[in-house]
Amino acid sequence: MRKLIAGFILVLAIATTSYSQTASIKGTVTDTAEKKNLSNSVVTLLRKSDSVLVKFTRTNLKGEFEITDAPAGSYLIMVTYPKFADFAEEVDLKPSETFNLGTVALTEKAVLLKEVIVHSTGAIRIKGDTTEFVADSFKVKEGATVEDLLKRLPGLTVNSKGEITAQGKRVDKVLVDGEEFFGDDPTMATQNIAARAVDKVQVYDTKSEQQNLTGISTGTEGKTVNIKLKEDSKKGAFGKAHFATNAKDLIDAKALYNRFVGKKKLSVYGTKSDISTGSLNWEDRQKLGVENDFEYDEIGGYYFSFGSSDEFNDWSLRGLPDAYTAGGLFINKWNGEKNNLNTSYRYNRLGTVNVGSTLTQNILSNSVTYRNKYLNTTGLNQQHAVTGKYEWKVDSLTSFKLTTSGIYKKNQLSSDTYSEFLDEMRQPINNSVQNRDNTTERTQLDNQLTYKQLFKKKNRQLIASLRFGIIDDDQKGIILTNTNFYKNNVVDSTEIADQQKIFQGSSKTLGSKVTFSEPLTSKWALVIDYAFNQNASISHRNTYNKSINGKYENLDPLFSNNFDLDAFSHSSTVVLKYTDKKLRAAFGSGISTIKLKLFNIDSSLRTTYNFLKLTPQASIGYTFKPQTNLSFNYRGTTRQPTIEQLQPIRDNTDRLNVFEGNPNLKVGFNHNFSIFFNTYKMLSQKGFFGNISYNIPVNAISFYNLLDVTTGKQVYTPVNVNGNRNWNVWMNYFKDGGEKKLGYSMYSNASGGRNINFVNGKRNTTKYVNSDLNLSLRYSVPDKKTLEIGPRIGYNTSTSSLNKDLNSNYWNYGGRIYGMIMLPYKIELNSSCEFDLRQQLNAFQGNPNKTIWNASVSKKFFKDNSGRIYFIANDLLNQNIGFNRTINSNFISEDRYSKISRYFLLKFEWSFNKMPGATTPKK
Amino acid sequence: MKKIFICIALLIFFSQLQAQTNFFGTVKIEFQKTVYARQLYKEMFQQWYDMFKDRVPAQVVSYFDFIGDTAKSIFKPGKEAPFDPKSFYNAVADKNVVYTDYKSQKITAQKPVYEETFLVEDSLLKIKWKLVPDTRVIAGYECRKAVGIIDDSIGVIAFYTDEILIKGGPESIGGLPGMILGLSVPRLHTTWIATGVQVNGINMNPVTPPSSKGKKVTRGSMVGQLEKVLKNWGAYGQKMIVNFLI
Repeated sequence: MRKLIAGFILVLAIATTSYSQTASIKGTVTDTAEKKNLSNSVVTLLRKSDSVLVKFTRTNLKGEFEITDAPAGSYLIMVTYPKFADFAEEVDLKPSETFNLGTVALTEKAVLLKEVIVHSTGAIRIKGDTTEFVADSFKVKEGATVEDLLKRLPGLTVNSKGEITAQGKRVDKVLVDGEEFFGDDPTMATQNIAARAVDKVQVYDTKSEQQNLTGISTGTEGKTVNIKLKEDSKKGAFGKAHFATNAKDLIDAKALYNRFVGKKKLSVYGTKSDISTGSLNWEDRQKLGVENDFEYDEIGGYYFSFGSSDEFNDWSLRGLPDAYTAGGLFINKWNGEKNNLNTSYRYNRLGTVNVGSTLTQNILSNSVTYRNKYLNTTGLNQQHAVTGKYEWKVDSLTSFKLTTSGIYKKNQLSSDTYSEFLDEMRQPINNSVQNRDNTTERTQLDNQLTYKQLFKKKNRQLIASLRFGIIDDDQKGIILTNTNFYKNNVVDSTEIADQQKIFQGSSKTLGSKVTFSEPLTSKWALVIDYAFNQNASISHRNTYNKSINGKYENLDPLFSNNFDLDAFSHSSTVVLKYTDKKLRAAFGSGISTIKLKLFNIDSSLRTTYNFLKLTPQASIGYTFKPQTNLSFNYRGTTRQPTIEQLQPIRDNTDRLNVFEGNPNLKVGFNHNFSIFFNTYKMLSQKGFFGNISYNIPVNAISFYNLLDVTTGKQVYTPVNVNGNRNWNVWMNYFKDGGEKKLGYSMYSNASGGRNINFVNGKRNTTKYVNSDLNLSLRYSVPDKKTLEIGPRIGYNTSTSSLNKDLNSNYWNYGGRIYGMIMLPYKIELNSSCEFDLRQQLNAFQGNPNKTIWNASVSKKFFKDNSGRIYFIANDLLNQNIGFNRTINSNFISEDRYSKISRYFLLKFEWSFNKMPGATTPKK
Repeated sequence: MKKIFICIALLIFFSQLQAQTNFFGTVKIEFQKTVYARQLYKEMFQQWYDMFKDRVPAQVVSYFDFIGDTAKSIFKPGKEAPFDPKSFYNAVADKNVVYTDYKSQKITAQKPVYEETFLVEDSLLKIKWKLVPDTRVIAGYECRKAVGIIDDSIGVIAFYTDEILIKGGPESIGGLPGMILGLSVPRLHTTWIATGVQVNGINMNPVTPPSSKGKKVTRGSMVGQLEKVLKNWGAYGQKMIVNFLI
């Protein structure tokens, strides 16, 4: 041991020779009572100014110590020995001096434990072995710390060293909100938390608490003090607003305001736009606190469920918009977040004006035909939506959740359509003009109550839910169609139809589901669920012809049908799961029986359909290392025909394209296989994602088309086919550049397959492959400049067995260039250009290419950059059109529609943030 | 009479034993690492936390073994903690192996960091310690409190005991007069508390430097490399660097 200490001192000496002016200190440590030298006592030299540990050593077998090469200065020398009181003395070490401390005599500690009687008052509660003090009941002076508060609590004593004794036992743990120690700064200690921030002080036995949490005793026996802080009583608000106009016909404006008072939050927003639907983007929704639930699926794991989408998003927008939205949210959490309320209201109003066309090439055996449609529509969609959610966590194991939503929608549409049907030589077979006015109203109410129970056994869980929903539909429309049929380029006959369609439908659903998960071992778990659903619906669809008196009174029975449908289903799922750190596997199956009772009111015929549905599923996932996963999934799904497909209903909204149901449809089944692989290297910032999926449908529902080439009238009927296949491959390889480095990403998407249908009694097999390859290069200097270049190339092929000579293969290419540069005076320049070019198909005239060039210049102002003014130029080349190309089993079609094209806007944006501790808004 | 005499002798003997303090130079200590995941994730993923907070476990426990004497020691993963498949928590720095040579004042640490495994070879971690007048009993040992600062920025709180002569502790934290039996890094909402100390029959054979597998770096070059990537990750990145530094 002596050797060791000598060695240690030597090392210390070597390590500290750099000090120029050093001193030494030596002495001997003894026990006062026994006059015995104490070896292994710790001797520490602390800097007097801040008690930083400068040097330390231990005494040798004779109780002697020597600390050499200590920088000269003022110190506190402290000598400690287990179970003895500490010795501390101030010493001044002068350069080159060897200070002799002489003999340090330590005294054994006498530990006195005094039992303290706890006086029971209203401010103290005793739960089991926990004593809880309500902080506000104990008056402390303004600016008092937690330590001052603890001194005031009965049964607690705090000595001059800051040591706490509770109910006669020393407190060896102080927790804040259940966590040991404190915030980020070590200088912040018990002394630094303000007493008024404290809600409750809890005192309990350290041992039992630890055992509760981990089942493992720490071997310590003492008291734990847990300081529960008061819930946030912060107040604040943030919001933003912008207004943009071209000083003529376009306005784009938005305002958001959020206010917090503690856990209460109120948000309101409104938008008006002539360039988009005005619906809130993801970021705004996040800020507002619009519910995006994080869900856990027993098989798939975690996934995000975003609020259900509706027709008020920019994706499905067709035509030029005139949109308004308004809404509000109120969120409140109370009782330690055990009660949670979230309510919202939203109003959308979207008017659109659209001029569009759909050009279709139909593939027949040995010939093709063309169907061209040109339409002008004006539409107005309105919606009022109210949602509410209330959660109540009764305790750590039991919770209830009630969600409710009500929606009222009204869609008004009027359209003028000109359509023509041409033969292979593009000679007319028929043409028609249709005027349509239609109003649809829907009222929908959905309520769900969920009860969740956890158990003392970890991961055992019971969830029961009850759902009740009502839908009410009303539709009224007038369709006026004038059709000319040609023979040898001359009008042969004319058909005029003037009809009113009145549809009424309603549906009531009552459902319940119980899910139980039971851990079998630490790695195996069983999940069982059972669900019952009952649905009663009514569908009345009637078509009336105009009578002589000008009223729509004469029922057209061919295009009318009325029925009641009752559906009952019982379903159950059993899934066995295996989870460990690397491997996750789950397999099982769902089974359900569905009974449909159909009552055809027109024919008084009752039909009962029984379906058996199986949903086998299996998934295996393997984590090779963190951030590298491979998974394989199989999912089998029964596909039951819809009641519209089964019923001999005729729909003649488009008189030349009539749908007819097929009561002989069989239940289909789909096998889906998919493989997913991902890997990401955090440090080199490279990653790869890949996904392959393959579908094999059995008894897939396809169409049997009957086209009368002489009139151009088509009837299509659903039929079962076998032999369809489709696949999809997607992969992405990328490297993030980070600062001043080039980042790149390559991704490719390909899909293909085989579809079977029937054209005029002949089986037609279409094989198709669509593929593209994208590259993206990005160079960025944060807050200075960014350049992105992303070229794209794609190839599409489609062959039809009916007409093998027909070529509908084409290339498409394009991409995107984006650049941003920051100029002095907080001016920012942005420009992007998107190219969308495709090879022209023989089938169609007109240029499908477009190049959209946008640019903007903006300047930030105000001290905190919270204001910004923009000059925006959109679609400088005025080429923006809506365009879709579809290549399907036996037709190819190009769809064009209006889109907002060139415009210039002046935009002003302002945001504010009055949150405590908020930083200035980004950029 | 004889029996009584033996009894008295035994009593005296035991009381003597009681009074005498033992110092230990060779120990095996089991540390329980507890991450208070909710508080940590609340700070790391401010925007997202509310969405997944119910899935974040309040605490995540793992175990490490410290074996060593006054010359050398090793800190390495210990017994497996039960794994909860449902918990939304990614373990970080749970496979570190830290070998400390107290004579040459060198540390050799094998640290898996994302896809890379670093082999850090450097001097002992420099920590500025302040002693605080507070004590606590951990695993039956009376410990003194010390507050340390690494790199003038990262605060740690340690409880060390005079009764164990090793100047070590969990991970690379050490440099106090005795063995650290309790450690907290507030910024990581993480504590390491000794749950058992074994002082007899210690097998020192496992106390060897970790296998040479890994990219040889110094502490500074590793942190430099991590900072380049992690500084783009905000609060998450900052905390991760601390995780790998200690």
